[in-house]
Amino acid sequence: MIQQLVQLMIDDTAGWLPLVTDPTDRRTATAKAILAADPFDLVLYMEQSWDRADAPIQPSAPVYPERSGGRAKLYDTGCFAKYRPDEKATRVFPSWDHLIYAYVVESTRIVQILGRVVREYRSGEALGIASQETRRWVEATETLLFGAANPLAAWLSTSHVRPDAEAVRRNAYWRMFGLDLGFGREDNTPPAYAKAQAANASFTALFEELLFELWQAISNLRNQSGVNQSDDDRIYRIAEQLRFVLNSRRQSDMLRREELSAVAALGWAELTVSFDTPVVKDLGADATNPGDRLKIIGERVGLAAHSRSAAFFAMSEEISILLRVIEAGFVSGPSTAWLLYATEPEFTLPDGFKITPFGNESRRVITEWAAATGKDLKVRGKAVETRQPRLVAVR
Amino acid sequence: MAKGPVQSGSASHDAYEQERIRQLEKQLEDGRSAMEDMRRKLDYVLQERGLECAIGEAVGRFETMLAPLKSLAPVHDFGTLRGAVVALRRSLRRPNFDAPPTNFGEVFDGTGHPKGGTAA
Repeated sequence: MIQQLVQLMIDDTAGWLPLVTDPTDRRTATAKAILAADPFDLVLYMEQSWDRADAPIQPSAPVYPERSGGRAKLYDTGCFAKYRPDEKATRVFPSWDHLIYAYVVESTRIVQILGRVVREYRSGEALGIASQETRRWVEATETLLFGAANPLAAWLSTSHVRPDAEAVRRNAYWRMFGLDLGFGREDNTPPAYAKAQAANASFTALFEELLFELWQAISNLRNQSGVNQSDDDRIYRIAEQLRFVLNSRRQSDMLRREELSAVAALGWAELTVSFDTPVVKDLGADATNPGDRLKIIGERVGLAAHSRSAAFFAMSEEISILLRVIEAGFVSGPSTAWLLYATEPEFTLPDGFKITPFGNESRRVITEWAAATGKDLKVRGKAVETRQPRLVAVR
Repeated sequence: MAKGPVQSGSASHDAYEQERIRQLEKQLEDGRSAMEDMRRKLDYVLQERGLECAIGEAVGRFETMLAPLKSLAPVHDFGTLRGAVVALRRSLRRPNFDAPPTNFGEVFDGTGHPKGGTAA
């Protein structure tokens, strides 16, 4: 959500920083403005995004948006109110990333590291004197990630029955992907969170099998002779099964609010290390990529980042798109399986129009998932069983 | 001497017919036996593994059989698919902070020389 807001502001060349035309300057100026923004405005924007996505998908459905007249007027007072995502698109796809984005970014341990940064800045001067921009970042981070008081409650996914935002996210990751983060709490004690019985324990196996099949298809994409090992029907069936699995945790918009909270919090965290931001500079963590910046910040506050942080950051955008595609059911049969592996920028459909398929996103996820997990997704771990299954013996 | 076609009414033809009937009866008996065997196995599956399991297996087999037919069915509206892909990409756009800092095309001409400069 945060990254999408930055992009919408960059695109507003007439209304936002009209004199800054250099693409690099526009990117960094806009991101710096967001990082120094009032957290109240960001919360209002988040609520606005939630309301727009909460509209019923079918106009005839007896469900109304949760917004009232008063709320709508309040949202419009936010300084980011005019940067609304496309309304029609938002009704089908939320204008924020998939929950997997939050999972892979949080796997770097960025939230716990930034938590220590905020604590150090608030409790002493061990990290040096923060610049004014960094001080505003600390205030916003304390509100957005760690629940400091705000005129409007930051993330409605926490309350006195589930006060710990990290535990709420861990619960959502467990239910949606059957995965836990690869580390404990900040003090290295085991994580404590409600581990729901209904969890998608089969997600990882299905997802890695899909990545394997996609790699087979990608490597045979331009195969003019010899055996073509790509299997559209199998890609379709695995994608369909993944869709069933993911959507089973989405019934009646379940986990949607938690997803928005998680991706907004992690989007904020990722933006903080996306370039040499004021807080990165104040911490002396200037580097050329987010993984290195986080590593240096972690060393400064005594909490090591995940050793594969670079891989997690590198696939966060693509894996979010890939899972949205799967969950939305774009691959509705073997004849559209190519959507997941074709890499041409403009793929011509049978009706003559062009489309940009998601092969490049798949490739990136295959590369970085293999780097992050240490599994070679390009070879099958277990040989395919070709023996005919036999019926059970008669007693 | 090469064998010619069997003449109808001859002794060899009768033997041939008898042999043919015997083979067909054996095939029929084998089929009956296979059916009976299958029935006993199905009874066992129903008793030991439950009705749901048997139905699941049957549905799985039907799905496998129908898969080639499903792949031929014209279930796609490519116009809708195209619109959905464009909308998804638009809704998740984000800045790339690692993009090259300069648009090279604005600086260099097609020969590799800086625009507005002189050739080396």
